[in-house]
Amino acid sequence: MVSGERQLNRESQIQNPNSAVTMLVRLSRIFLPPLVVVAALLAYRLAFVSAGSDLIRPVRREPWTITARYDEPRVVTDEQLAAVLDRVKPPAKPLKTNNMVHALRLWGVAADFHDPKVPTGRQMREYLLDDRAFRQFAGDETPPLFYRDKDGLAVRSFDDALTNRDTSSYHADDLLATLAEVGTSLDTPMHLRDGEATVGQLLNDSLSRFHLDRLEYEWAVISYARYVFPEKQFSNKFGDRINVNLLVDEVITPALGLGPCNGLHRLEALAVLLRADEQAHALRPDTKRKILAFMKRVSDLLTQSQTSAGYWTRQWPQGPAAATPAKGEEGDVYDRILVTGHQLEWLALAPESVQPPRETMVRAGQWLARTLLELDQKDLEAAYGPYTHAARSLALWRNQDPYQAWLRGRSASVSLVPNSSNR
Amino acid sequence: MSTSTANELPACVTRDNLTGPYFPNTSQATLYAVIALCAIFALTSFNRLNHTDLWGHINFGHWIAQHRALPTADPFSAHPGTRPMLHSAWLAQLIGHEVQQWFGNEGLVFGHALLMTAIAGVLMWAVVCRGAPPRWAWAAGAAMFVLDLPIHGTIRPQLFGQLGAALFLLAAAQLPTRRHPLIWIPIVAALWANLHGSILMGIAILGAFAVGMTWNLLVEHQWNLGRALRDARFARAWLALVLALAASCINPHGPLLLVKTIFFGDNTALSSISEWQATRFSSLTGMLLLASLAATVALVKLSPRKWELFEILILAVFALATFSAIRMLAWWALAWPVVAVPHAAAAWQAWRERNQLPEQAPDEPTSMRTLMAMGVVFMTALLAPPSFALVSGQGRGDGPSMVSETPLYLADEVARRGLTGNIAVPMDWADYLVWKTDGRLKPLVYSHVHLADPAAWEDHKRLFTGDPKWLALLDAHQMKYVAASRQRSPELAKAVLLDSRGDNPRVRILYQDQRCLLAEVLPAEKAK
Repeated sequence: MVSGERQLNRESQIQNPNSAVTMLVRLSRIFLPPLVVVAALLAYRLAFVSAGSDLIRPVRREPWTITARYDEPRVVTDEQLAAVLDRVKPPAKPLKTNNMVHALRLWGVAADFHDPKVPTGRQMREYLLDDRAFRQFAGDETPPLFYRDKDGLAVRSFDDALTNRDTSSYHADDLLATLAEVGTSLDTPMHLRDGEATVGQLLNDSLSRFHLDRLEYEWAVISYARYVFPEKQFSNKFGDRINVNLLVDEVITPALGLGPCNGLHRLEALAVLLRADEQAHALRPDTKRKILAFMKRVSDLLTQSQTSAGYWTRQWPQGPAAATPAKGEEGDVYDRILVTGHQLEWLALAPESVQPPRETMVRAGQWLARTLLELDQKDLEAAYGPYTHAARSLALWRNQDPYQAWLRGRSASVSLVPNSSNR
Repeated sequence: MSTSTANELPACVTRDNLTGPYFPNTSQATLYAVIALCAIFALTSFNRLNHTDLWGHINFGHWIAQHRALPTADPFSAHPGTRPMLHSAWLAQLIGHEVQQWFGNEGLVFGHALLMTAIAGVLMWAVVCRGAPPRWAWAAGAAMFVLDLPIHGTIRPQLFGQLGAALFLLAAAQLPTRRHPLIWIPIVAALWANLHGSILMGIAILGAFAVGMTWNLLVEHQWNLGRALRDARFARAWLALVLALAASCINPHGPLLLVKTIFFGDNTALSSISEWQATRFSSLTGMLLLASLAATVALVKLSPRKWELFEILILAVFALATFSAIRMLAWWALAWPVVAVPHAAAAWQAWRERNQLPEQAPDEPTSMRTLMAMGVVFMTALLAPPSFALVSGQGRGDGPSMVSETPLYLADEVARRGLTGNIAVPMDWADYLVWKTDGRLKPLVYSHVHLADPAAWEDHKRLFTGDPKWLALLDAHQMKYVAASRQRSPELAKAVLLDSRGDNPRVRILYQDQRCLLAEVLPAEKAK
């Protein structure tokens, strides 16, 4: 009864246009729906939106170790390998960052040649990580290899200036990829000329600059594969979300032969990614199939385009037509070593299902070993980078660490030659 | 709740227990309108920022904000033309710049979606004021959106003009019965004259309305001119036109603005810009125009509603204008729904009556529909990228919020290197480069082609269409840099690349990616 009276009282208040209740009703009708929507959106934000981060946070601090798959003595014998490696020791002069990078990835951090003229693996890595070491090699006047700009840590690149190009980075993200290849942890400190940093910051800032319109993306993909994978996605500073499938498409889509070193670092990047996936098991099956199909296509072309001597020319994407190169297309020995060395290198990491017949590899390896041993030392040093790829590919085909192989070769030659230590 | 409405809805919906004095009820018509507006907001917000003259307008806004004045000459071009500046959009440019500064790219996208939604909302209101059943209001917004498809993705000061035109169409719908438009028409006209140089479209709408109203009154008063002139509606119609004309003179050019905007399209450079060209029937614009004209013919046959002179005039004026220039579709997209939807509703009702279909149930408001409308708004806020950015506090970044043709990476490199000086760059890339370098890079031509020096415009065209004398052209205009698109200007890109690799290069490559290359033009003596 009392509640009925209250109800009547309330209704009469609502009907009175001047009562406070009427005002409240009007205001409620206007504002309640938008307030509820705003409250729901706020609740959504609190419940479902996580705090965004610009940082790339790999789940691992150590890069994936990518090991060789095969040990094929017919491709290169122990003796040939040791002799080839002995010819590609790190050159101290002329100083080129590109040579340092290539020497470091071939020899690794543990290399020590006990020769003051030949930098050790540790020195070469310090060249990249510590500006004091860099200046010891390059001189105090040389601008630093790394600097900071508004987007973080940046690398002085070849195109940045006409001066000091020798000590610059030759390819986008090649320094980072090399640090990954030699097993540098993301927590490793970097001593810059203008402060301290870590390799993790270099990775973050490098990948945040990466975009899919880049002309050179190979080393970014290698860095991603070694450091970031199995994280499948990262965002760059432009807000683009770049995932592993986009990266694979980026590598696979351009015409064969396009890109630095005849486009062969693209295949290396794919081989590294596949090898990392054998440990992480994170690639989508269709992505994996796409990679393998691409590799198989290249592998078939290599079988068809191999010359009778065993090498490949830059025309390998043409298939059988490249096996007997026309005049002017045969290339010089530099080109042949560059192409053949890079091909053997990625194939050493690629699975058996995409390999050309072993005979093809043996012929290529033997041509490479013979040619590297025959080359004039001066020519060899003038094009050190591509020749280290060739030497590395031979070591990979024997599943041997180059430095250990060189040491074994050295001790074998010492034991074969009496009193060789006095020579 | 009426029984008939309750019968239409399933029990789970009607058994709401929501109805009460503190929670509003919503009609079916309002719910449809909310859904249409939310759809327009969301669909518009999926458009990315265009790479062309948007940034040119933002650049002008930036200049105005910096200098607190209007530029007397083109401040961005390496070779400004001699034509005097026309400041018909300075306020829109300033607003655009301020929005970008305060809210970033998401703010611009949000503003775009909001303006389109507002235009649609005003049109819906206008058709209801013109006597269409409220349930049909959503159709006006939808028709506008469809007709606007070829251009609605582009953010331009024209959007403010479209809102002004929608408001004038609303005024034309309300003036026969209401006086309040006489208060706000001058305000809208004054703002419009400073937001976009299309105020003449508004004058045309009000002019057509005044003529149509005069005709109606003469007919109504059996051709008694005196009685027609004494009718309050006559005075209201013509006063609205006079007030709009007077208020539109409040702008940096005064009354001259109206004359200047008439002759704006005479610039020869504009003739090569597609939107200033005549509509081709094979284009989307042409097809939409033809389809809407065909629908009009059908409505003339089917609608029992009287066709007014005002309707015929605005359809004729804006259809002819759209045939003459693609960009005029913006006005046709507003005028056509306001005229056609009431006729479509009338034709529908006539068809129902002819077929003796039962009368539609009265549109009783319910609380459940309010809840549905709130749900639609909630979902729209989450679906639309700019409102989601607002909700989540996380913007998408430059890449996802701008069209892929934007020279994002080139601009980043140009800014990183701190380049300054003259640059020959594709016209549609230039505005963004100017924006990213704060005007330090001065393009040969940018998308405000009407400001370009005619000789520079001709040489720009020659340069990017593979003229073998590209170096001479660069030298003639003292260009310090050249940027070429690999896809659109392959001849120039190849020539630059080959020269940079020659023995005595005149250009040095600074940056290249898969889409473009940027080179520094070396002085002739230095190159030797």
